[in-house]
Amino acid sequence: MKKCIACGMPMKSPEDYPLGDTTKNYCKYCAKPDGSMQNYEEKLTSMTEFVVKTQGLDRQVAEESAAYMLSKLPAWKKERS
Amino acid sequence: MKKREQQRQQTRATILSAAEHIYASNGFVQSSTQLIAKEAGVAHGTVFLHFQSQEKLILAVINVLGTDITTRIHESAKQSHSLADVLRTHLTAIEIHESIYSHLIMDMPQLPKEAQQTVIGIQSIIAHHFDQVLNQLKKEKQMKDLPISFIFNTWIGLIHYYLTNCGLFAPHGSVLAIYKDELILNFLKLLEVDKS
Ligand SMILES: [Zn+2]
Repeated sequence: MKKCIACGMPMKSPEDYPLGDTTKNYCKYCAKPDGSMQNYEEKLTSMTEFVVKTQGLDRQVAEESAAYMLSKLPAWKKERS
Repeated sequence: MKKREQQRQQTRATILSAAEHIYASNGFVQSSTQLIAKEAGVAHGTVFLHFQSQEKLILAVINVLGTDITTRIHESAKQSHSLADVLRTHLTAIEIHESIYSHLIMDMPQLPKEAQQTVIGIQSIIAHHFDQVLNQLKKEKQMKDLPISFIFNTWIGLIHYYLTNCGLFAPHGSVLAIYKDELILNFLKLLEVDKS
């Protein structure tokens, strides 16, 4: 099964892909409205906001954790050494 | 060449499962790498050949645990997606690893920052499934209008309270085996909109 290179989510059906395009290696949550992939800053911000919204964590803690999670993913390995 | 790589992978897996076993019975902080090496039947140095440090080994074990829990939730989300299903799958996944999971949450403040961040990552995936079902229920006005972080933390707090005090709730076995159904049922009732 393919996993999104930008957030790690498993992609099983066409609806998990941006605009249903199963040739992409990133998911719909990591795409911009036009279907192209978000950049590192955009993904870091959206993931941080998601952690704050769902887990209620301090923003700084949430951002550090989001950066750590992203550093483990193929799309962002080079962003943080 | 291929055979050597296979052997290397095999040894790595043996150490990993020995570590899981030791952490599940003694916790993450108390367990020595000597004990893990002994359990795995390898020389002490071999552990560090594969995992560099105690810290790295702990992280690898947490990753395996997290991957298993989140995979189960992803898998079940495919078939059905009600809040009751998400809660049940979550508790069933934790129940399978109840001992190591309980040690993880109890030892968390003493573990390296990366371990905490890994756990936040695992919770994020669970929260993603919460978010999806809760949004739907809120839209259909079937659920009280509470912030998702409050609902999620109330759920996590509830489970973790039972797990960290397992000696009070289930001194002779699995807390979740006994309380799972009750916790799910009452949590759902708590969120339900009063229809009368
Ligand atoms: Zn993604």
